[in-house]
Amino acid sequence: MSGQILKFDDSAHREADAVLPWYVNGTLAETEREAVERHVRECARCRREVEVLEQLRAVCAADEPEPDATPSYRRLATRIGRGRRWDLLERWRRSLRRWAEVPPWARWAIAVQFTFMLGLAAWVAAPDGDGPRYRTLGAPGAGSGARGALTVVFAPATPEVEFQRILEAAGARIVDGPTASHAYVLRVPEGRRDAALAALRAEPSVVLAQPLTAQPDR
Amino acid sequence: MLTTTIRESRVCGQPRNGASGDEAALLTRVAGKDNAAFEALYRAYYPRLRRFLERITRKPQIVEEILNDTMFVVWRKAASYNRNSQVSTWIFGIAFRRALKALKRNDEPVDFEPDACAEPEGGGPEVQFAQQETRASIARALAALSPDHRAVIELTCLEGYSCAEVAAIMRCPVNTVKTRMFHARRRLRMLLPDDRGEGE
Repeated sequence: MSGQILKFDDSAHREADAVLPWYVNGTLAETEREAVERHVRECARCRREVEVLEQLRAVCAADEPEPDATPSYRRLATRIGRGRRWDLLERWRRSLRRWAEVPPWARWAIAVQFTFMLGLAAWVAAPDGDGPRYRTLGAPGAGSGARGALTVVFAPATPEVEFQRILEAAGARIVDGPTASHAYVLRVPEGRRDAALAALRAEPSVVLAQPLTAQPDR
Repeated sequence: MLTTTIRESRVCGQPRNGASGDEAALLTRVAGKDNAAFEALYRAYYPRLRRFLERITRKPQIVEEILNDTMFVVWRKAASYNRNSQVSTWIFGIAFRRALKALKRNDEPVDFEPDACAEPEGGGPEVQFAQQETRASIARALAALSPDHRAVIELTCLEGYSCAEVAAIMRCPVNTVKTRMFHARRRLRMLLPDDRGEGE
């Protein structure tokens, strides 16, 4: 026994089949070529595939008229002789020629698209005259206090009807809460914050009423 | 003459190891800006590159541009050839990448006429007709493949490169070459008439 195991199962077939083109063109290493050869002898499918590949190779390698390299070489020699700067210029000319070959409608489409992209970039890059459009609630100037927001804590036993009466009297509505400390965030119309705050503080059921204002940066 | 030596050492579909030493010496001279050496290398590679590029791109109008761009790179970068691969593998690698670049730029479909460069063949009219039919149907099937799949077929069947050399030219792993070859062959089987490529 040589110690080599000949496998005729699917995996052996797949392995041999995968390298058949290189078996046919004669570039397999000796050991691999011998293994494939053994498999091909036993496998009708691979033998048929070898025939197909040989036919394909014969067609690919069929003699074609030897093209004359001279005109093409002369053009390249001229290009080399003119130097690198001329070559860059020539590439630029080629790009222009390719651009000229693009159909007019496509050129217009590209131009419109390019203009749109430029406009979009300019719009995004332009400074915003109205200041930043996004502010956090805690940011100075955007504070809830300036927009009439208050925080209120009611006494624990305050009934719902009392809630409603107090809110209506202050002209406020609940926008958030209750928080973990049983506080509510109220919104009152612009300019009425102080009046609403005074009305709330006058209520016995209101434990705490404070305006929501931003903390200044430290 | 050196050009003749290189040309004769290259038989379609056969390995070309004999030429590699001569070509490496030639390329060394090209690196020293030796015009005669470059012309010899150009003439040796012109038919092979032209045929390869014609088949990969299927666009005859851009073949010479790609070919001369390839050889221009060879002229400029000859000194960077590091002898880790054969000269032909290096040059075909440049040509392959240039072809892919050109295909990306020129993505319009071009009609392919498989019989356009067919030569008159020996034998009677029936034999000639049958040979032309076979060639035409295989050419049509090859034309229907993607450039990557066509490249593995051309480099293997026409240029006679090993799997590792094809991988070096296409700058991909050997297993990728095998996978591309598998898919290319499967597609060819589907495209070729039953008497040539039978399904598994």
